[in-house]
Amino acid sequence: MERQQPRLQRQGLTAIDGAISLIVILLMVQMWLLTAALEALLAGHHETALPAALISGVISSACWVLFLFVDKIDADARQR
Amino acid sequence: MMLQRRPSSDPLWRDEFSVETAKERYVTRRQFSKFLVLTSFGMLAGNLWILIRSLRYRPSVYPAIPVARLGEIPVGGVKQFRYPAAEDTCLMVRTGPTGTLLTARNARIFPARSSTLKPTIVWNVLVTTATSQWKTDACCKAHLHAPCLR
Repeated sequence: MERQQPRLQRQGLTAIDGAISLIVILLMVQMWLLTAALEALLAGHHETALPAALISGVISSACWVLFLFVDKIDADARQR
Repeated sequence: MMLQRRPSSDPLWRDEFSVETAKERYVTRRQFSKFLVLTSFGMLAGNLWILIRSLRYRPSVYPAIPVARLGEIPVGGVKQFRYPAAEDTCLMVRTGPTGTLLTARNARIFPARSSTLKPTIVWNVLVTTATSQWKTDACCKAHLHAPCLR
């Protein structure tokens, strides 16, 4: 029978699950952005490359921040 | 927020391969989020590659060549020519008797047996016939001129 997890650990898992969900949503947006930028490049529209790269950088930074949040919660849970 | 993980008293292998269910769930979620972020950085690299390609792009320069004389193509007639390279087949169509709009498009001419392949169209050329001088229209994207030779 599985041991009951402490309440704080369950809260940590829930927070991590929420952060991972946000990362997945950001990844879907970034994937669409990449395909749109590539399609624009192949169609000869070069003016969209710079804004697409900037927004992709912002999304990657947001993913990185969310990963740090996940790492912090994991470290806190490990120390308990 | 700390940028590095806090040092743990347990060795790394014990942290990463925990036998406790509760800890193992944390480990799997942490590893999964790592791979997601890695994927995000991969897509960022792709966008940066697109940006570099755009910055290095230089538009091609197409030289002007004579295509047809004024009365060479009848109304509704078509003339095939090759531009800019020998493998690029184009068509010039005369659509009217005066103030004729001649549209040349890069048509890929496939053999007759290839019924599934159709000519693809790449760019337009607008040429207006004049009385004595050849002219080009502002929307002549391919810079292709048809001098009205007499």
